[in-house]
This record gives sequence, C-alpha cells and structure tokens, in this order.
Amino acid sequence: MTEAMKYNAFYKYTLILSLLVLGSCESYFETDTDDMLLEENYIGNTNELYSGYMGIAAKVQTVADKAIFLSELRGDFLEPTDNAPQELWEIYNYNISPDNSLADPREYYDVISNANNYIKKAFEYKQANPNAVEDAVFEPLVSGAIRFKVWAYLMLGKLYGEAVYLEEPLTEEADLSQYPKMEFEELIGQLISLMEGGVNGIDGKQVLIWSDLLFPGVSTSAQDLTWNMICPSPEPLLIELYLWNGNYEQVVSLGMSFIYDQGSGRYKLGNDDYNGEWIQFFYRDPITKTRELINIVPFDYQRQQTNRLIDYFSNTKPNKYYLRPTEAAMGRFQQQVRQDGITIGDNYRGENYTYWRQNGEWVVRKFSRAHETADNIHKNDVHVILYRAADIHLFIAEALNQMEHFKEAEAFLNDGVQNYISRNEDNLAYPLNNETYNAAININWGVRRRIDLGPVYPEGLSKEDLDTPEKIEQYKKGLDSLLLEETCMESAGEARSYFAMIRMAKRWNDPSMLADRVSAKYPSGKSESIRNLLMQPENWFIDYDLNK
Amino acid sequence: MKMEGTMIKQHKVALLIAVMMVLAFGANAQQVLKGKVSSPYGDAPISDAYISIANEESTAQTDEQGEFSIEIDYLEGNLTVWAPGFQEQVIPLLGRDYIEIVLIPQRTDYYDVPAKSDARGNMKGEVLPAERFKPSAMYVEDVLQGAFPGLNVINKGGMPGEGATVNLRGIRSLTGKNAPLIIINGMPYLPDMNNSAIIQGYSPSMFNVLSVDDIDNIKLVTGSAASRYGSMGSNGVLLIETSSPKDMETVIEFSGQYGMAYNNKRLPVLGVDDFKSYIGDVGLTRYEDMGDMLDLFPFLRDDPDYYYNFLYNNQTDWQELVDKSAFVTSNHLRVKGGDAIAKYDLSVGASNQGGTYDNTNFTRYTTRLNAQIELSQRFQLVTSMGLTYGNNKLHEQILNDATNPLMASLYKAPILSPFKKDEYNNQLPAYDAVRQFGVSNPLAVVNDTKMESDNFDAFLNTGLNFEVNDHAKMQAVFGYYSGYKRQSAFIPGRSDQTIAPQEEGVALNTARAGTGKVSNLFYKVSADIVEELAGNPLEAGVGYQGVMTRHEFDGGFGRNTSSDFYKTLSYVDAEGRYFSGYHNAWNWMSLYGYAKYTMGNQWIASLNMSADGASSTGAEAARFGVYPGLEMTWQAKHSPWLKNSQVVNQLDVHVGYGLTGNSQFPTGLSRQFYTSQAYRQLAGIVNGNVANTSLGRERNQNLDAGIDAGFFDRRLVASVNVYHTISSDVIFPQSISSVYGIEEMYINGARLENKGVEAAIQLRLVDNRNISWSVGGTINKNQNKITAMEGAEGTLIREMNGGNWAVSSSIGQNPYNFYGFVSNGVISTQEEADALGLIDYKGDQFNAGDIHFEDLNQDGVIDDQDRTIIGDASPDFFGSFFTQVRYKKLSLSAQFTFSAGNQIYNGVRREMESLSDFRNQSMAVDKRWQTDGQQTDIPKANYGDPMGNSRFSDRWIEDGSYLRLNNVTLSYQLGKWSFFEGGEVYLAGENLLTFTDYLGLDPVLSYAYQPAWQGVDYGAMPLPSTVKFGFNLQF
Repeated sequence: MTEAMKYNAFYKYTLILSLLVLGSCESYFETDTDDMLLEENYIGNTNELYSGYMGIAAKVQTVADKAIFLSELRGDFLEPTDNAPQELWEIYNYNISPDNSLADPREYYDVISNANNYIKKAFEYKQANPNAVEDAVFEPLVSGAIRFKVWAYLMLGKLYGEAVYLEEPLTEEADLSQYPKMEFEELIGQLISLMEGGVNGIDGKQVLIWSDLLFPGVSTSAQDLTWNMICPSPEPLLIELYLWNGNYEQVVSLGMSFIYDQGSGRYKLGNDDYNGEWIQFFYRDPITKTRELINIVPFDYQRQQTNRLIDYFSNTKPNKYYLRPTEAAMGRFQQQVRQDGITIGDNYRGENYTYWRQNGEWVVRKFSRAHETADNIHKNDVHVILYRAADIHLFIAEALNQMEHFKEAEAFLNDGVQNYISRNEDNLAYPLNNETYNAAININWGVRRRIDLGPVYPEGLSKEDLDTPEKIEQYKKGLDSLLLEETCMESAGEARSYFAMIRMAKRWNDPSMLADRVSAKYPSGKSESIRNLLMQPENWFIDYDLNK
Repeated sequence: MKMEGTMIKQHKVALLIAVMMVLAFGANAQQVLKGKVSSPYGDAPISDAYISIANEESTAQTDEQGEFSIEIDYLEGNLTVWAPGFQEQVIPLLGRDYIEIVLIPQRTDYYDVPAKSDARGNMKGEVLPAERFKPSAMYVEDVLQGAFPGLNVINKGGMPGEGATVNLRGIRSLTGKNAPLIIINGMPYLPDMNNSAIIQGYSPSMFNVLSVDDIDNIKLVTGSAASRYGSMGSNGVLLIETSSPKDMETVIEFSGQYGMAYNNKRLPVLGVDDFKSYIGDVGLTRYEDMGDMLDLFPFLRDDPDYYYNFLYNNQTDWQELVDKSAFVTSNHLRVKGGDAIAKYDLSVGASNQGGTYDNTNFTRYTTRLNAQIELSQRFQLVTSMGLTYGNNKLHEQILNDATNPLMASLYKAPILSPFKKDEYNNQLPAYDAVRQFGVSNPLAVVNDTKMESDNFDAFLNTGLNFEVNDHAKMQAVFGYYSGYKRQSAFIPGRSDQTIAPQEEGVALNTARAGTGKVSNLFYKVSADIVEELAGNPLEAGVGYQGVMTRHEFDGGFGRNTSSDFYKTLSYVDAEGRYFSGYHNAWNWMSLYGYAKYTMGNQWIASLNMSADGASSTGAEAARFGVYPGLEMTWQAKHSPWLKNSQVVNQLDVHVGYGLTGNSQFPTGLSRQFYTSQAYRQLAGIVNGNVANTSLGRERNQNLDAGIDAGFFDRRLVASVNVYHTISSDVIFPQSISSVYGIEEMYINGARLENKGVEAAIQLRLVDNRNISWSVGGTINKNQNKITAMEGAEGTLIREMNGGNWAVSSSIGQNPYNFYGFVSNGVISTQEEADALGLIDYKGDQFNAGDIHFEDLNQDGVIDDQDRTIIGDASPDFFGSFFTQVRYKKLSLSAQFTFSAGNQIYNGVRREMESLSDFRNQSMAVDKRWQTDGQQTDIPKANYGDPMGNSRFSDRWIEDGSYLRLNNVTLSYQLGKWSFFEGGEVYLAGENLLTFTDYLGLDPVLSYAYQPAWQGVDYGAMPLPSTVKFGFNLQF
C-alpha cells in the first residue's frame, strides 16, 4: 500500500509540474528578434513618427525610376538594345507576360500601403499621446503622407488606367473584392477629393518646413532644402490632377499663384538656367537648382540608395546599356529651328545633351553627365525629378489652350511672359493681366526661348482669323500637338510625354495622336501592327492582373 | 502457467489467469532449465559461458561440452548468455526447459547493418555503435555515409570542414527545416545552417562541433517513434551519445591517423594552339576591324620578332599548378576511469586536414569531459562538457575566378606565365598580372586571397537522476550550447593587379567580415517507470522539455582599401561599404509521453506522443499540436512455431503510424511587423510583412511497415521498410496580389508526399574462426511529389542567382525541378535555320551554328515561356554496399556508395562551353560549329552570346549517377602485451575510385543545406582521394 501511495504522489507531482510549466508559457512563444519591429510596438515614440514618414519616402525611392522605363519604352523615346532582358523587350513590344516583374505595380501599392499604415498609426499615436507632438508638425506629416499616396495613385492611373483604391493598410490577408477598383477618371476624382478633403480633417495641402523642425530659428541650410523637396508639393500635384480632370480654370489659377510664389524669383523659367545650363537640372546637386526643381527623389550611392537610370542607359562598363534613344525621338530634336530662325537643331537639349553617340552607339546622356568619369560611372544615384518648373508651365499652357487663351499659352511655350508683356503692353489678357503676378513673372523666358529655340505655332492657321468654331478647334488641336511635341523634348526620359499623349488623344478622341507618334519608332513591319494596336485606347495602359 | 496473451480486458479472464498463476506457483516451486551453448564455428561448444536470468538469483556456467543446468522458479523471463569474446545474447525462455544457444563472436568488422534498439525509455531506432565506425573516419559524416537505410549523406565538396548535406527520406518541407533533428546527449542541437554571407558557397559542417572519436553511438529514429519530438521530428531524429565512463578501470586510449589527400581529377581545357584558334574565332565576332583585334591579342600575329612574345610563349597547365597534395593528421587521446563515487571520461583531440589547393585546411581542437557522480544511492549527477575550436582556411566555391582557384585555372589562358617574366624569358618572383583576358592569376588566387572562418563551440549538459524506487526514476536536465563564429574574407588585386577587379570592375580589392552567434538553451524534466501490467512489462514515462534558440549573424562588406596590405574593414572606402545580418529567435516546448507494452514476448505496442508548441506559429493558429505515434511489432521468432527454429534467429514485423510536425520555420513569417529601410542619412520604418497570423505547423503523417530478420545464426541479416509520408499544411510563399505591396505571403497551403522503400542486407558467406567473408549493403528508393499547392495551380518558378537559372515547383512533380530550355542540337545549315524560322524575344533569328531550342509553346519565339522541367537533383535510388574479408587478425574491407537517377546542373561546364568571351574554354569547344553543314553539338563562338546559346537549358543538366569506392581499409588487430591492452593498426584509402558519366570533377556535391540548392555544380572543389595510416591503441 505504501508503495502505491508513493506512486500516486509521484504521478501527482509530475502532473502538477507539467501543468505549472505549460500554464505560464504565453510569453515564451512571443520571441522578439532584433531585426523586426512588431506591429503593436509601432508608433512607439515621436521619433518613429518621423521614421515612418521616411519609410514612405524610402518606398517612393524604390519605385521612382520605374515609370521612366514603363512609359518611355512604350512611348517614342526609348528602345531596348540587344543587351536588354526579355522583360524590357516585352514592354517595348506591347506584349507583356504575366510574370513580368518590371510591369508589376506592386511597388506603387507598397508606397500606398505604407502611407495608409502611417496615417492610421499616426492618428492612433496622436490620440494616445495628444501632447507628444505639436499640430504644426503632426498635420504636415500626415498631409505629406496623403500626397505620397496621391502621387502613387496618380502614377498607377497613368500607367495602368485603373487601381484598387485602399483607405486602410493591408497588413493581413483580406478580401480584395471589397475594395473598389477605380477606372482612371473615377480615380482622378477620388484623388482630388482626397487632396482637398483629406483624412480626419487634415487635407493634402499642408507643407512641413523641415528646417523649422530640425533647426528652429536657424536659417535654412542646403541640406534642409533637399528635405523640403522630397514630398510632392500640393500645388503641382493638384495642378496635374485638375488638368487630367479638365478643370482648366483651376489649373491656371493655382498654377499662376504657384509660379508667382509670393513674388520670389523661383519657378519662373528665367534667364538663370538658359541654354547650356538647362541640362544641369538633371545631374547637378538638386539644391543648386531650386529655381527649376520642385520635387525630386534623392538617391545616395554611398548609402546603397540607387536607381537604374545610368545603369540602363550608359554603355560604359559596368553599366548594362539596356536602353537607347530612338531615331524618331532624336529626329525631333534635330528638326527644331533656333531663335535665329535659320539654324536647325535643338542646340541645348538635343545631341550631346539628352543623348549622344558614345563608343559607336547612341546613348541617353541626360542623367549621366556628372558620372562619366571612370571613378563615377558606376554611381547610380542621379536624382529622379517628380515635378519641375517646366512641367508646371507646360501644364498651364495646356490649360490656357483649352480656355482658348492662345496667345498666353504660346507665351509660356515659346518666348515667355517677358516678351509677351513687352509686345502686348496695352492689351494684356488673362492670366497675364495681373499686375502683381506680372511684377514677379515678367522675367519668364518661356520653355523654348530658354534653350534658344525659336517660337512654334500651329501650321496653316493664324490666330487672327479664327472666325469659325471649327478653325478654333483646329488651332487648339494644333497647339496641343505642339505642346505635346515640346513635352517629348523638354521631358524626354522623365516619364511625361507618354502621359501627355494619352491626355491629348483622350481629349481629342483621336488615338492617332498617340499611335502615330509611338509607332514611328518601330521598324517598318512592326510599326503598322503597333499602330493598329494603339488605335485602341485600352491598349495604352499596362494590363496587369491584380487578382494573382 | 501464464497465457500467451493478446489484449485481455475482461475481468473473468483476468481472474482465470490469477487462478492459473496460483496453481503454477503451487505446482512448480522449482524448474530445471537445461541447455547448450555453442559457437557458430562448426558448432564448437563454448565452455565457461555465463548464464543468468532476469529477476532470478541463480546463475550458471557451461561445462566443457557447453552444457548447463540451472534451477529457476518459472520458465519465463529473459535468459542472458555471455562468454568472453562473444556478444551477449538475451533470449526469452517462453516456457522452454531446454534451449540451444549459438553465441556470435565479438566482431572486429567495420560494416554491419545497424540493428534496431529500443533500450528502456529510449526511442526505437537503428543504432550504429562506435565499434562499427570506420577507423579512418575523421568526421561524423564519414561514419554516417552509407550506414543507415534512408539517410542520404552528400558531401558538399572537397573543401575541408564543409561536411555533408544529410537528408532522410527526401524533401518534406518547402520553407521549414529539412534536415534531421540532431540530439547530442539528449539535448537538441540546432545549428545555423545558412550559407555564409562572407565566404560565398561555404557553410560549415553541422557536425564540426563533435569529434567522431568522442562518440559512443549514433541512433537514427525514423518512424512513429519520432513523434516524441513532435513538431521537431518530421525529418527524423539523429541521436548522438558521446562516450561515457562505464567501468571503474582506468583506460587510456590513443588514436592517430596520418595521411595524404590528393586530387588527380582535371577538366580538359584548350591547349595553346586550340586556344589561339578560339580567340581568333570569337574575336572576329567582337571586332569588326581585324587590326583592333590584333592590337589586343598580338600573339595571333605569327611574328617571331615581336618584342612582347615572351609574355605569350608559355604552355601553362594551370590546374596542375593549383592542385597540391596535402597532409591529413588526427590525434585523439582519451582517459577514462574513476571509482564507485565518481567516474570520468576525458578526451582531447587535434586534427588537421589540408585541402588540395594551397591555403585550404581545417584545423580543429576538441576536448570533452563526461562525468557521472553518485551523490547518494539514489541521486546521480551526469554532466558533459565539450569545447571545440575550429579554424577553416578556405576558397570560395562559386563561379568566380577571383576567389575560386578552380575557376581561375580553367579560365586562364594557357599561353600566359604564372610568374612575371623579363624580355629574356627569365622568370621573376612575382605573380603575373591579370592581362587582357580578364582572368585572375590562379596562383595569386590560391595564395593571396584570404577566406577564413574561426569557430568556437561550447556544450554544457548537466542532469540529475533520481531513482525513486526500483520501478521509477526521475530526471532533470539542463543544457546549453553556444556557437560563435568569426569569418573574414579579403580579395586583393589593387597592389599587384594579379586578381581581376570585382563588382563589375569597381572593387579593386574586397574585404568582408562577420560574426555569428548561435545559442541553444535546453531543459527537461522527466519521469520513467517500469511496471507490470496484467503480467506483462510496461515501460512508460512522461516529460517536459523545451528549447530556446537564437541565431544571429552580422556582416560588414567593403572594398578598395588603399593597398592590399590593408585587409580589414577599417580601411575600406566609405563608398560601397554596407552591413547586413539576420537574427532569428525560436522557442519550442513539449510535454511528451511514451509507453511500451510487451505482451507475451511476442507483441510489442509502443506509443510516443508529444504535445508541443513553438514560437514560429501565428497568434491565431492553435498554440499546441498533439503528435501521437503508435507502432505494433510482432516478434515472430518468439511464437511457438519459430521459437525453437535454428534457422530463424529473428523475425520482427512492425507497422507504425506516426504524426509529426515541422515548426522549424522563421518566427517572423506569421507576424505583422515593420522593418527598416534607409532613406538618405535616416532610417525609415516600412511594412515588413503581410502577416499570416494563422500560420501553423506543417503536419507529417508517416505510415511505415517493415520486417527485420536474421537467419542461420545471423549469417543472413536483412531488413526492409516501406514508408509513405503525407506532409500537409506545408508552408510555401504564395505570391499575392500586387495590391498588398508585398510580394508574397507564407501559407500552409501545400501538400507533399514521400513514398519509398529502404532495405538493408548482410550476408556472411564464410564464417570460420580464422577466416570470414561478408557482404552487404543498403538500398533506398524515395519519391517526392507535390500533390497540392493552394492558389498556385500553375508552376511556381524560383529564379536563382538573379535569373541565371531557375527551379520550379508544380503539382505532381518533385519539389525542386531544374527549369529551363530544351535544346535539340546545333542548327547545321542556314537553310535549316531559315526553315525553322525561330527568333528570340528581340526578334533576332537563330541561324546556322546556333542551338535549336524547342519552341514549346509554338509561337515561333524562343523566350522564357518556352521553359519546362529539365531534371531534378533527387536520386531515384541511393545506398551503399560493402564487403569485408578477415583472415585471423587481418581484415580487408571496402565500402561503395552509389546514387542513381539524380541530375546535376553543371554550372562549370556552362561557363566552359559558353563560347562568349576571351577566357579559356573546355576542350569540347574544339567541336564548335564553324562551317555550314557541320554536324556537331557545340554551337558557334559568338562574343557576348547574343542568341543565348548558353542559356540555362538541358545542355547543362547531366546525369549525376555514380558508384564510388568510398573506403578501403586493411587493418590488423593487436593483442595484449605488457601494459598494452590491445588495439588495431590500419591502412585506409578513401574515395579512390568513382564511376560516373558526369562530366564535371565530382558528382558528389551540394552547394548548401537547402533542398532548392542541391545538385548544383558551381565549381565545387572535388572530394580528394586520401590515403592514411592510423592506429587505435588502448593502455
């Protein structure tokens, strides 16, 4: 009997011991490794409020060069070389296979997801710690996150023609069908209302002055100026959205106030960056070019923050030379007439600037001029421009054209406000009849005069005898075409012109505005089939399966 | 008399038994057991054999005729018979009063199919005792090779200290761990099995922490018994017991081995004339102007007066220069002994294995102390401590001529000199520079690049045993393993220009360094009992155990120190410098139990079970999983109709079902977390994962059945086992909609099945006192198949090495197939090419001299969509066989290993037949297509390979089947002499012969532990042949 009792005790203790250990084990399974920040711990302090914002910016950096390859390869500026991998050829051939990773919009959604997550987490943090951060800092941070998101959606719209619209972060598996898939027009409307209406009372129009935050009371240093450029500014973003949406008055009024910039000398296309200095926007340190550059994505080779621009464009080792400029695009530069009215060729944007011949091959040179020496050629850290002054001027000109302010539109395109005012002293018209604005913007040289090109006007018609609505429409379309041609040169390789083609082809319901330009770069046999393809507007966008 | 029973539950029957037992008591106070003990050598009687019976007082000894007689209470229980020089035998009496026993002599053979063991409280498995280790074994892998049915041990290459990939029964997990769980002295050992970030293509042997001389036995647990380790047991369990003190007698053992390793395998490369002709050929496709080409390659001009001819007038066999024979030594000393209170086993070992390139070797120092202390009559303290320091000097085994001497010596032009020369053709002491072919000087690679790994490992394991009473004991164990490694790499090139710049010419020299740390903390409390239940023995136990592991690695990477003299990270250029690393923490705990019930000696039912949880599973997954494993064994030999058979010694039939799991996957997969991404000089926080919070354990149902048999005094021993494993809830990365912003999410969505047969047989053809000859071996067949992949109906393609090649997974197929293009020879004529009209994705046509790739989707375009499965690395069959002949004390044994039906991606040959640049090529390119109409299988030379003739295709997939003479040993047993107790001396040859059709250097290779990387030849150093002399002595 005693033996049996001993056994009972033995079993009992064993059992109790096991239960004790198992009972207290929940934290045992919550291992915390040092290389991940768990969801529940974020945002844990004010510092992480900034880190999270930087995280969105880092995701923008990851995706920044993508639109250049996707749009210029499908536009008329780029074609793949023999070195290029299948992915690039597929994009060029408008024949994209489902697993083409370059065509994958994932990285744009990553920006959106991080922005959504940040906005949600920032409000949670603010609610829990109302006094941890001032509204003057908190609100611009959230507003900036909204604009990162709007920018990413706008890119999705322009590249894919549709997007799944998300208000909240997707950090766990979800039923995607509950989120609306918006077509382009609907998406633009949604983005405008997000910019204007915002989230929880914070709209997309607040700007954080980083120097005030980092070094209050100290005058702005060069470094801080770059910080101020990293997030798309409210005005260019809204101007572009309004333009896509056909709100031309808003484009012009917001655009004029933006370039007026409270009377400062910025964003005027003045004579500071004329002729040979034009090219410096693309390779010089952005803080030296703040008169032109509004928003950029900075890169830093030393910190492993690089893009693929030089790698894909340069044919100097170790770069890969996947892409080169097309004959069609180069031909456009060569046909331009300079200000003297005689000399042919875009002297400051064409050969040797946007492109050149190196080692016997045509190479895109626009971004690599500062990197051509052997000790620099591998440093793939040239900045990507989100918005610059010329974009805004071309947008304003496009809107003015739609508003039938042809002379004023042409002023921005051709030889500038300065010449316009001196030529039309007595009959200034909207929007160049605003004395306050004029006092500041009368230094404007116009897009073409800045690089020593002569003015262009729609062929076969004179502004003076636009006596029928048909003639007005014809002139308008002609000027649109000129604006488009100008975009193709001014913004070659910057992911602008293909979108302008879409915008105008849509506006005029004339797919040939796009199809003719793009198909011109293909060899003769291919050209016709690509043209036929692009006469169908649904083929303008990348068809990528989001249900995978 | 007891009934020979099956399960009897009714009280009536129990009562009847009780009555019968009482009757038996009364009737048979004493029984007389008689018997005879003889040896298998001509039935010669054995005198002075000891006979005892469990739980009985009386013992007996045999007389001159080998006969004995013993008085006992019942004719039941187990009879133990032992005689000096013979193996102990345990025989159940089963009511017999006369018994004939044939004792099997103690053997000195190294090969023996492992026998099943399920000693009290332990899991059932096949045991390989130290006596069966090949005497020339230096590493644990040498012992495991070909030893256990089902276990495939594939040497990673010839680099010393790299070990082997060990796999049981194929691929069972796509994300989790695929290697068997290693238990050292009862404690799970979970090393870091990633390839090094510092030294590419290198991962150290997981067994480097242990000296093979310190091992007492190795046991492999495969079937349902592995359920005791629950969600760690899905890949089998390899239990290693280190040597422990058994007797009080002081014993000193010394073993030493000394030998040479050499490599006589060479790949045929172009000689001087062929090389020049090739350069001319490929040069014409690069330079339009002949003059440009001749400026770059002046030796193509046949100009005897050319001043620089001395640079190009050499005939260098680079492979010959790089290969060196190396010394292999190992010394190991053990002292064991003690008294009734404390016993110890202390050993120290030192070994040094040179590789067959200069500056490769593995030096290791090990020490281990195992002790047992009787604290009181019931308390016993058992501790073991081990310390290991290992130093590896290495070269990278990747397709890079700056760090892999093999690749450098294959690529390097034969016309160049290894040393600088002056214009009078005199050799100067410095190594010659890279020169215009862009290939590093192999001698500089061997001697000037520095790749080193230092490893410090410490084991501590302490247990307290408490004997509650005769039936029960309790145990508490605490164990800790800490592994620390420091790796550094330096690739020079800046000062002497003897090594080609890295990173596309940007890195003139490269420095990398990193440290890694692994810790395993283990604890266990357990209780075991032995009881009688309904007259039959029941062994049972419960326990609670847990492991906490941390794996961390941090590395720094930089380039361009100011001169090659400065080899550390502190001197690298700020530009291009970066850091990276990983940290994974994984905890596991388990409540386990087992029971083994033997019924009437014939039927054994055993149950192993674990209820366990691991930190890797998601918050919404079930925290604990329950893993039962049940096995029934019928010991037919003990049945009435076989128990007296002299033919059948053993006939066990077993069938088992076991559920195990796999929770050994990274903890982060199931978590929603954020990670860091740098932005300018600041750190940004970004989404890290789309969490699958319901991510659970993988589930492995294993059904196996088999027979273990022995006949004719165990002259014929055989076992055969069939198994079928269904692995469900297998985790794989499912690609998710781009809308998530994250590429993939890990889900429990796949299902894998493994089916196979394992067999082992051993036949003693001749067996006399003076001469014996036996043969035997194992053969294993395994088939892996994916049977489901949720949401991935098509083929899951995994691009490897930046898209250089690919593996695929799809339903109905092996988990990792080589995925590439199918080739159909070289297009012979332009007419034929035009008729085919195939173009590539660029629109360029495949012309005469290009490879005819199959247009699988028949769209006229050869592009990525034309890829398909072109092979896989899993063997259809593998195994080993051996033969051993003994004459008196001299014996000769040989072991062969083989593998059949596995494919290898020969990445080296792809490089050597790519015909795309000015590096030297394989001799095969002499057959390259040169004229229209030429019939050949090697395409034309074309600079840059614009048509992708050397793309990843079946051209590079080869049959990796082989038959290898793994080991030959000639040994002599030494007798007792003076203070000298005995031992053996031997001469051994390892890896002397390999029969294979594989065109690379060595068909036995494994790039990494991960299953996706098997069968990839990236320029692995071939396993050297080794000849050794050695001895094991006891004092």
